[in-house]
Amino acid sequence: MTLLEVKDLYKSFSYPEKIKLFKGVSFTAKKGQTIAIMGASGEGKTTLLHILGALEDKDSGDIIFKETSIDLLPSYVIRRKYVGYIFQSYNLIEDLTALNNVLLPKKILGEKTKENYKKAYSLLDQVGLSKRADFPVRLLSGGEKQRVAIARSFINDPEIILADEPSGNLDHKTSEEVHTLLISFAKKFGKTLIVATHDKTLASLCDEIYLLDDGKLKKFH
Amino acid sequence: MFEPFVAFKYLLPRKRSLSAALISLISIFVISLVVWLVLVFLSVTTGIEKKWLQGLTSLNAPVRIAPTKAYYSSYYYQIDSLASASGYSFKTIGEKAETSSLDPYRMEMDMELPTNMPKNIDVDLVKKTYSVLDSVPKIAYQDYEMSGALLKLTLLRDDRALFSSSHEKKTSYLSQMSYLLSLMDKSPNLYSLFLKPSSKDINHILETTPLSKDEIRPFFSQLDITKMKAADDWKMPSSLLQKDVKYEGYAAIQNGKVFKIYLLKTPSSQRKYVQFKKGYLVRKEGSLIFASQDQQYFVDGNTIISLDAPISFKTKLVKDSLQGANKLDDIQFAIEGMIQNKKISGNLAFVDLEVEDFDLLKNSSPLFWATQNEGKIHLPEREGMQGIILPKTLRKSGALIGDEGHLIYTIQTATSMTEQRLPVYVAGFYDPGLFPVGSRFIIVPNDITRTINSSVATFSPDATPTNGIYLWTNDLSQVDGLKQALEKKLQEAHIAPYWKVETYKDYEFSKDMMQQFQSDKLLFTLIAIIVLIVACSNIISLLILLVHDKKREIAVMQALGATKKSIAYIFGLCGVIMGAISSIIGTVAAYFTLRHIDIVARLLSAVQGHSAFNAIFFGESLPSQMSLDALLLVLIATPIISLVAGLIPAIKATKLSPSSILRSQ
Repeated sequence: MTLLEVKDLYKSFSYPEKIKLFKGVSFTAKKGQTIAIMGASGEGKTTLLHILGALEDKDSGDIIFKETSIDLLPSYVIRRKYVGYIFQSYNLIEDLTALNNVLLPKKILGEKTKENYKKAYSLLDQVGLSKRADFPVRLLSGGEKQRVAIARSFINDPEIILADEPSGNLDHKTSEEVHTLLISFAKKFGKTLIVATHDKTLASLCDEIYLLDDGKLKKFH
Repeated sequence: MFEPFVAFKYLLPRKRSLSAALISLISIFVISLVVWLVLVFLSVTTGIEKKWLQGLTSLNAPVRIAPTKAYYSSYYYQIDSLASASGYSFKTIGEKAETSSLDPYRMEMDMELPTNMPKNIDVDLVKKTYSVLDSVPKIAYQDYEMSGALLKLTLLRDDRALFSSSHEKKTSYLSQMSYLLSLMDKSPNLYSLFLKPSSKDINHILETTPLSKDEIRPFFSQLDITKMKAADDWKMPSSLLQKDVKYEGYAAIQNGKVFKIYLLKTPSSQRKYVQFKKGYLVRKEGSLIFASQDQQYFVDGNTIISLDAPISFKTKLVKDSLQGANKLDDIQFAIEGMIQNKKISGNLAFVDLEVEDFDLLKNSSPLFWATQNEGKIHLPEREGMQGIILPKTLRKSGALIGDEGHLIYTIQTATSMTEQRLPVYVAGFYDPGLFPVGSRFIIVPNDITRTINSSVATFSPDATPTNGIYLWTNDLSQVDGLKQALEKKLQEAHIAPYWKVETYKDYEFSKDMMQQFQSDKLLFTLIAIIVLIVACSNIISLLILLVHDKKREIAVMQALGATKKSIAYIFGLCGVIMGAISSIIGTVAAYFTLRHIDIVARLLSAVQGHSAFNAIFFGESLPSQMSLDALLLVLIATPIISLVAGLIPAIKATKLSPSSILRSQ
């Protein structure tokens, strides 16, 4: 079943100089599929993820979630319901505990129930951090932080997980752990994972690999 | 709620964001300081205004009903000057109220009426007005009269020459042309303007007035004398010394006999008596011994024991001694004092002692000074002299309670001018506040104003009608409504043309000041708001810094689904919280400052080297009650201004592009 369809996406930047970043990017993603988007630096991997997650506007083209164009939805609804983010530099709130960071999307929704606490705790348990639940995240290691971020991206039960260089800041061993965790989580919860990465190992774990090159997205194999 | 959670998190000072914490603390401090200042300043000024108004409306009244020209030219008023039954003299409102007959004119006895005499009306204007006033709830009213006379007081004072023990009296005189205001014993607050007699007054009465046997008991039963001072040449009874305690001193000894002993008041006393022997005095069982270094002497009852310095004691009246006391010497006080850090105590007769401190006890019968009993003020009367109340400026000029004198006025007869004297004595002082001619107003019994008014033409200070009715109400904010209601009632009773109803806002002497107060208040409030705005603008810079500091978190929260409204709400709330915290801190600080305002005033006076707050304008003590209006102003304005200040950074926060912030990793 097609969950996401990107049609003929165009995006350009005029500052500091005029760059045509996307010249008709198109692809589809099925439910539960894992997709790697590779490409050289500056080809627009992050921008593509930001456009998919309604953090940035596109110039033209269409993005259809479950047969609904995202143009018809307020951007915060897409961020709340459809996508979960994982960033290269984790982007956790450093003063909050691991548990509160996982709970933050729920708090933003105004939901403060016992079930949410249980769910957050269970997610932390599944990423192997139940013992660190009450630690402020500034005390955690890079790998641990990224695992908290993975748990956070799943809390709202989104359809799509967008991961932007999830292991970019990690050493080789930790990267492998995070890759395994991410892919297995996506599979386990049946989520579509779109991951922008340089890492060939991670890409090889995905169902499909796309290469972003000169404003076009090409299927790798 | 997610927004308050984040707002509180941002405002809590943290080590890692020290600069933001420091700025937020400084902002809160500055706003608190301004809130404190505004509250204290507005409360004190409002309090002073209230005090001044209360003073004004106590000595006068919040509402005045004065006769108009129509009243004075009416048959009702004019006829008294033509009727023998009225003694051919005009009557005051008070006298009219007391008269039983409506028309004193008797055709068979009195001269024929002039042709231009107005026609009689069949209404007793004063009594009708009184019945109208009786129908108004929650007011008190009384007629007042004013006149003028020369006050001449004889001031008898002790003139104690240096190195002499003789008590000579020196006489001086105090004269002042004064306005006389009849005592309004129904005025609810007039007594609050009366000043408490001072210890100087009490000592003056005791020194100059020989109290009769019948006066001693009531006099001492209205005073609780708590502290007294011994006169310089006080002879200390040896019974006050503690048994077997050594008191250092110097003794004059001749042929083995002790004539005089000076005990040192403090052990460190530097005073030396060259011809005297140093030693100590001890009271043993049944005997008194002075021991010098080499010898011991028995001290008998003839030896004078004195102190080398003046001493004060705590005192308590021995109530039994008051029973059957014929003269002052019969009254005993239980005293307790210290010399050389050793106690002296015992009973002491009231000889060579001066009152230093006392409390006034409630007493129904006034003896020397005015008292208030069951809401009514009583002026005392002694030996044919009427007690009068002087403005406090005359106390500064040296007058004391008990000083006697005369009120002098002249009456014109067909052939000459005669000087008349009414014997009076000072029965107290009052504080006229800012009443412009207050220092010239003497409060006298009604008899005096009537006597003088019936003899001389009356004159008016500051365009105040010399005869009228004063009305008191507890709520000064209601006077305008009361005036309207009264005018309507007088209209309904068809006597409106004869009376003019005025409130304190219309009084000639207070009109300018009232308007000034009003505009001052507006000006101060405006200044307060401007200062608050300036202080709260600190919040803008703090929150802009905070937005900059937290922009990554703002972007993350947006990525996780937070709306722009939520982000704006967080920073707006930060502003309101800071404003609210500052308001609370400032209000609490203002509350404690106002409670201890006199300490602040003393401190300011000490810094300036002279009194910072002149008692004439500010009263004996500064107002210490927090003004409700000021509190409302601060508690509403500060959070609102803070919110507005918080909105500017809040809008800036929503304008951030989460994508570009998240990209810059």
